[in-house]
Amino acid sequence: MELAEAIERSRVNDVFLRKGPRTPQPGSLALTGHHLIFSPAVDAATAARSPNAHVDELWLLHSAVDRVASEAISRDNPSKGGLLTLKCKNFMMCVFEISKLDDCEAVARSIETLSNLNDVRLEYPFFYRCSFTVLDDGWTAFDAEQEFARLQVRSDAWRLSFVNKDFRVCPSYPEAVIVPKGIGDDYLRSSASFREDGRFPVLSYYHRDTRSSILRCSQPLVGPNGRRSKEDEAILNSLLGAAAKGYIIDTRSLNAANSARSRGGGSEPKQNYSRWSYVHRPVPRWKELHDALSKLVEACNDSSASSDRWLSKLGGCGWLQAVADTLTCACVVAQCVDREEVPVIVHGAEGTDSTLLVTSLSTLLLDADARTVRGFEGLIEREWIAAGHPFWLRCAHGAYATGAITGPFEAPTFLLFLDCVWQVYQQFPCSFEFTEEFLIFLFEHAYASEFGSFLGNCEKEKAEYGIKKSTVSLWSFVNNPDVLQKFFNALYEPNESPLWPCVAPQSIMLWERLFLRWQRDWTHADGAQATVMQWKSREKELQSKVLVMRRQLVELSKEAQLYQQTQLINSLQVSDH
Amino acid sequence: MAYSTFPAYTEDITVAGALLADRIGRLFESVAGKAPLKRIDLESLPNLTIKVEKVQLIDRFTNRSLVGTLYVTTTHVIFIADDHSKEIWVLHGLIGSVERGSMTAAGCPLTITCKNFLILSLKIARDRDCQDLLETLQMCSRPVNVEEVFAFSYVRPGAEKDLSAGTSSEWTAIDLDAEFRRQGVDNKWKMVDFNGEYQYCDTYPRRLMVPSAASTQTLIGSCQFRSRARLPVLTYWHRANSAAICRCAQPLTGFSARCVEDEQLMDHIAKANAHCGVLHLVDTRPRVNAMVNKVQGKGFEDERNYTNMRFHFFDIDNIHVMRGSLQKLVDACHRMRTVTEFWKGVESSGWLRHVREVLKCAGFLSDSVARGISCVVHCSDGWDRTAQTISVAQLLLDPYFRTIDGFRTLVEKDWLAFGHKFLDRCGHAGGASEEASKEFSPVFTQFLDVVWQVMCQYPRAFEFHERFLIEVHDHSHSGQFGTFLGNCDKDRMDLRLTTRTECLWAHLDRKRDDYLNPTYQPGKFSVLVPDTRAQAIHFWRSMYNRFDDGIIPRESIDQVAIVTLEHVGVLEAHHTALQARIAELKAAMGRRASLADSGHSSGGGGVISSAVGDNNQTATLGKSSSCWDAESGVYDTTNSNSLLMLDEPELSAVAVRWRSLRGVVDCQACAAHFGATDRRLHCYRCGSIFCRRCLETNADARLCKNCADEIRPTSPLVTSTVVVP
Repeated sequence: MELAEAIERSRVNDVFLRKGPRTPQPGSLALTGHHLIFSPAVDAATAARSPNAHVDELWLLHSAVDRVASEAISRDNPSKGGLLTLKCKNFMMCVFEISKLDDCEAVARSIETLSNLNDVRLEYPFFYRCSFTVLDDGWTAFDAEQEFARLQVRSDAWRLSFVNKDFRVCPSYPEAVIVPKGIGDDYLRSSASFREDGRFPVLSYYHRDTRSSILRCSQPLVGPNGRRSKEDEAILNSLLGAAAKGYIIDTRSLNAANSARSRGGGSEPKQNYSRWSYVHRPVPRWKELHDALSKLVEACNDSSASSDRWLSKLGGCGWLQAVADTLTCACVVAQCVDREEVPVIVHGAEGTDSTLLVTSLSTLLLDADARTVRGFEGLIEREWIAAGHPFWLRCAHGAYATGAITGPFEAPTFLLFLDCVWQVYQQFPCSFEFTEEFLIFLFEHAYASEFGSFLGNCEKEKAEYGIKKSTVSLWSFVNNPDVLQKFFNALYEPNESPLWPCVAPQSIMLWERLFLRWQRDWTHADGAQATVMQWKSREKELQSKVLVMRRQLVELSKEAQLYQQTQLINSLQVSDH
Repeated sequence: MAYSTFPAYTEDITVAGALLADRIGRLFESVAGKAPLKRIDLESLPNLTIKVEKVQLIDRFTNRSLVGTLYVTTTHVIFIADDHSKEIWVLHGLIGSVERGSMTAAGCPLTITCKNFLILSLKIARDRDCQDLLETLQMCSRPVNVEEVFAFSYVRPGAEKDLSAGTSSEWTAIDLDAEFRRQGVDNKWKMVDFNGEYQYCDTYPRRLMVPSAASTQTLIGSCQFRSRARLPVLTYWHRANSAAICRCAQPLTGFSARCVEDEQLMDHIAKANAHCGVLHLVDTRPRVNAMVNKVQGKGFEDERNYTNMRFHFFDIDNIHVMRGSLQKLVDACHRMRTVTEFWKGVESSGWLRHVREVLKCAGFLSDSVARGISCVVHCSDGWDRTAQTISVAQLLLDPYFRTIDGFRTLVEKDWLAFGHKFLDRCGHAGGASEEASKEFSPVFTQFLDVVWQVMCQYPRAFEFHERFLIEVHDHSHSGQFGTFLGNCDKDRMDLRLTTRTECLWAHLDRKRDDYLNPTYQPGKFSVLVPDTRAQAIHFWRSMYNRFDDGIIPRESIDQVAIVTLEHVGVLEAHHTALQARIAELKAAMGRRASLADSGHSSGGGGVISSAVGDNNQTATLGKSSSCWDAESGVYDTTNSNSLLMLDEPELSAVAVRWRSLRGVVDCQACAAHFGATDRRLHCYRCGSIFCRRCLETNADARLCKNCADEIRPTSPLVTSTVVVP
């Protein structure tokens, strides 16, 4: 399909922006293969004064649009024109008044088609021309071999396995994975055949001080007949070493795990994994999340809601509960590793959603590096992108898409992860190198982006479509010093100790900066924050200045003393004579 | 195995909750002098009444218990853990209710609920002890007579002399005249003395501001037509457009009564504002409530009888509803375990809804006044909802009320002078009668909550921090100070509080820098427009869950901000001093070089004279470092040219790096625990963190005792004995 075919009207004049990210104003709309462009009308007087003035256009990626609606302004009188409503994946809403109803409908149809492309290769990242020099290529910055090299310095209990070369063993894993050293590739293959989608246990996080680790995998295919895999058991037991026991944390409830068993899945039975304690820590399934988010966003947008209605939706939509549950589970895992010093295996069903949520969050709690910008990028690259979280499926639609236009696979799992990170951030605002702005930036790019990082569902698809060759990595952009500057947290003080966030209901807050981003005037909050950041930089500046001056003073005074001594000697010599 | 929900910081379950030590430590000073916290001998307290050993303090979230001893003195309830990991002091005035359960094998449960939202769950080993405690505490917490309140026996450390002389110098009464002068009230208004002996209205102040055109006859007539004679009087005048806010109580209209004088007075009020003939009359009650009052011969004004008046109702419920609401809210934030349950609890308490109503009404008032329309506000008696709404409205309108001094003025004027019944509402006295418990209501708490909501929306518009509101809240209940005692001006006069008790504001003034908002930008904001959407109203965690240490974040941007601000100030000063010093050194060396060139320096005398010359020069240059003066003294005594010598103390006068707040949970000198919201202070010289009591604070520095001792020998006092020729 050619993108141009979908564009029914490439330009519509006489448009009024009624609601959107800027003040209501007249202008015109233009459609390209990937963007909707609103250009504000320039009145004759201004145009005459400065003909080349930069017109502040509003560019909107089609893929950022979640839902399009077009309706007549007046039902009885279609000649009054139409209203084009665009609900975006970042929760923004734009409403345009278009003077001709059929123009309005044509634009709506075009955007609808263009925002629901079925072919990855038609997506904008493939067409995007990199406008900056790439100093630090994001595609190679976090590769598994470097990762492993760093790990090897700390521990020799692991090895890098290429058993998944050409994605033959597990389609959703990367080609290189880190596994326990004593385990051969044949064992891994055999374990893969015993685990859903071949996701055998691989290392997720190694704790330097306690030498315990977090591994992740998918559910074992125990099934109603009680299958077992000696090799899989051997892999798990090889982790235990001196530790008497380990924990298997199942992100499903006991009931869910049991019913999975009748469908061929299940959980590791006690008799075969006798040295492991099995714990159920239910984290909401990705299917439930979409609903929760939709309800929450709807409630946030309802500006005429009564207090009671708002509060009942806030508590009842399930989003905050999901955040609390996920965070609690991650804390339990982190606690096992840090306090009890035992290895932990995490899995749910497929091991591509809740499992990754839990392992990545526990890593964030335990590992100070993961709270730096670069470390966090690495965490997302490793634990989400390379680990095979199906971004392409999950982020196809956002909170506004309900009913028929939503496929069966959409879920805001990654947003839930970012929200959990934010919860920790707001409890420890000085322990993160980045600010919440970075998290919001990542959220937007996961859903619609000019960069290829979140394209495709796994490394295999990335390779098939040549994503790494033809598109620019998001990290290449972020790691530009100019861009990085925007995300730095001036209050950051490196904090080596693990973070133990509070998970009490009062501590789980609504991420207002994200969910009420378009509803509230943020200038005051931003102003206050900017003031604090300024002082912090002023403090640092003064500190270094003072140190320099002190040194200068010491030098000067030495010089002066030397000078004085020579003077004294001179004068003594004079008096001697 | 489970991630313990409360307090969630697994690293220090034992410490969680020790937060009270510092807060209470301040109270403690008042009882036993300034003994260090942990080394006191409670047995020897002069006023110990009950001592119960082997009391278990139950953490209601984790169900862990801590064994200790409970002491009841005539002023405090004190719990001290046997292992000294925890110490809790509670003033009797702060005890809200005491309840006991029935005896079990583990002991007899006793729950003490405090007005500052602290809840102590205890288990007492013996039934009789428990009963004793229950009866004693119930008696202590609710004195029948106001003169039994702690404020009358509290002596501020260092103030013994004042009291024996029969005066407490710290009381400064609010001067309403001065406040109206500050507002710039024009000559359409006048101050009248007709209530000079409280003869017409005993819950109003003696001097009242009324329209100049109103005769005394009109005023007296209006008095007779208003509930409790609370006639409409001016409380705020908006300088920008001469619109006014007046307050009164409901009229005694019944179904049809009228009063010519009252109608006249309203007309005068409307006309006092030359720019606008319309007057908004705001009844803060729901219409239904106002209708019910008609049956009792009260009610609301009939729009038809008053010229140019627009009548508005607001849905703020009465004190009984608020009492129940806050009770439910506190239950929700202490009982609910899951997010869903918690928000359900918050919703059904209705507290946020009520807060929003007050803010809406205040927003309406401030909007009207900003548009130049005068408002007259009343509820039933005009001392609860009226006080709330008009004071929030003034806070929105006038930046002065958003400063610490202004806030004090606001509370003194609209709450204290105009007769908000603090004694009844905060339950200072009145025994445990049912009547008294019906008068109890968190009206003032709710007002503070609304102020906090506005603070959240405009973080740079307030001089004070939420800590200030919390402190004012606690002391409005504690009964430690006379400020909030009594129900009205007249009561306070009769009790002679200014000579018999201490003043809260003076107490707060001593710790003023504790209450500063680091992001305050004076002059930037004029009239604030609050967002009153439901989404903008927040649950005030640091008020209602203040004592659940784990819930308050460990790292707070505010705390870092205030420390940074202070440090920047210190560094700036140091930087300037260093700059001056370098310039001096350079100048001195340049001079010497020129002297040497001219062949002037021959012999020791020459060196000295030139040095004296330099010294004079520094004086004329106006370098003002005290170290410097000291040094010039040293110079003469040692007879060596120290002008060019590096002064070690000067370099180490200020710590370039201050200790990070992270992980500092107690004072480095006295080991008193810091609560999650307590201010942690740095010594300027060594950069370590201390509590206020362990720092010596003067105009330009805070020093810990060690540092203060170290620099003392070189202080000007010692060296100034040698006079520079």
